[in-house]
Amino acid sequence: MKLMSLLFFLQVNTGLSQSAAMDSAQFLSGACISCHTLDKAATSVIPSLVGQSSESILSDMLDYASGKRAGLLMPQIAKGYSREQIEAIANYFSSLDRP
Amino acid sequence: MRRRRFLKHTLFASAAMLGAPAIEAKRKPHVVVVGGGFGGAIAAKYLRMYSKGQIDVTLIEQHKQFVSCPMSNLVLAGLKDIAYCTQKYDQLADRWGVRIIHQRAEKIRAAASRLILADASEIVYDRLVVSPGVDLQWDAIDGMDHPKANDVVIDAWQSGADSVRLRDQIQALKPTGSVAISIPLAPYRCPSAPYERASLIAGYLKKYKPGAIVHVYDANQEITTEKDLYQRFWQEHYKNVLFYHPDNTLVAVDIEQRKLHFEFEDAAADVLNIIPPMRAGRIAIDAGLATANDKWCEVDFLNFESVAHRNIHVLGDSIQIAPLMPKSGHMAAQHGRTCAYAICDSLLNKNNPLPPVYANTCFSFVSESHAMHVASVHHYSKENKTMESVKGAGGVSTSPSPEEVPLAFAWADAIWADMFR
Repeated sequence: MKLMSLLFFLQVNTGLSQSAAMDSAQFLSGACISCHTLDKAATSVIPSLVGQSSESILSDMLDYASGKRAGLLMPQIAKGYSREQIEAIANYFSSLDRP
Repeated sequence: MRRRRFLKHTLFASAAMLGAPAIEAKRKPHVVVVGGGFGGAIAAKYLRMYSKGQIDVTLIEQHKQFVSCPMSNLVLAGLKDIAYCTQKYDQLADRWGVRIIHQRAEKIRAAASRLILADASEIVYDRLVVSPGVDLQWDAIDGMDHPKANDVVIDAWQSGADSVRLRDQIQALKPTGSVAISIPLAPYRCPSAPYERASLIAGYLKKYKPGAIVHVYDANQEITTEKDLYQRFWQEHYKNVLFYHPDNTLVAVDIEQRKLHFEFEDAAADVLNIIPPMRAGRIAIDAGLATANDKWCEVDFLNFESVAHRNIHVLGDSIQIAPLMPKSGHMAAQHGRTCAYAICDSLLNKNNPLPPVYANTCFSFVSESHAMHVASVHHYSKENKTMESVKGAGGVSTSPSPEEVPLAFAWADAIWADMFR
């Protein structure tokens, strides 16, 4: 099951390398940037998502949405996004600054 | 002189307007943005970013610096200096290539696609983005035509200088003095801000002016947002300092006597903080964009185009909001981003734009040490042609907490960076 979802995830990741898809992912991710700064060097209690692995953003968001992971704010936000949207957002931020 | 200015501005303007043949298609489209607040600054920056420089953007903003309303209640309580809320526009120009003109936009000539500035110069646009904030309706309150009205009554609802003046009045209050806050009927800019303000002033008075009190006169029938959280915190912390009076619409003010006249009672106070009724910014009203009760501007939520005029887009506090959509700076920023994305798509002939998704968070301080939030996520409904909040998502804090204080500061840092850097 885990392998299946990873395969699906990698497929989405590849698909998004096309520029049109990237534009939509950039637009969709805009809502996150108001709190999660793009400035990786900034010291903020709200972490920058730039360069984080897409797997960790995806699993964090899914855990927030399912209630598996607690938080002051993110459980309320994560519940508003579909899995596809979360995948696009996760891929976008991880693509910004690859290690 | 006027002619020279006009020519200078038309360098950016439509070649077609100057009679050039349509075949000369290399000119970049020109978008003019009126107002450099949360909506306008984001729209200007993201138009440049999304278009990868293929759209020329001019931002018209009368002030040389931006002073944020969100976080400015901290200034009233002496917890932050106004410099903390102040941002510069220079990186929008230097980093993003936005042309900035620090002038007041006077008038829109929609039929000619021209914007008239305070010095009478004209700018031709392909698209106009109007993000003028709110116009305070002082004429709704009798007595505000008194020559000293502006010295005695302070709204501190759109100007940083006013926040400093109101802070000074509160700090000069005598030990047994009183502050009155008058809240207009919703919708008004920033639903939570009047209650945050009342809380922070109460906290200040409790600490520095024991015996002084704050009265909140609300035209609404109850606290309009996070009601239980505010009520509980006020009961626990400000019981003898903060007094809340719902269903009190201010009709007149006596400037000489410092008295407020409501529909059913009168009240006197040393400091009068009146937040008057409000509507869309003046330039939007004058241009006939306020199609909802002559107060707010109806737009297409896919691109923020006005229902009254093609090629004119309206953002932020000026719009007729969708259900459960707050008039917040955070929301205005999302309007700006959506509008920029849709305009790029339309002008640069790309694909159909993706329907927007918004995540809104408004943090409020209830004291120096405790903050809380209200959050919501909004999706576009094709069926109802509006933004709808997602059921099951969003919500408010369980209770105000010290943990949310650094989150609120981090939010401000991030959104100001998103606007200006």
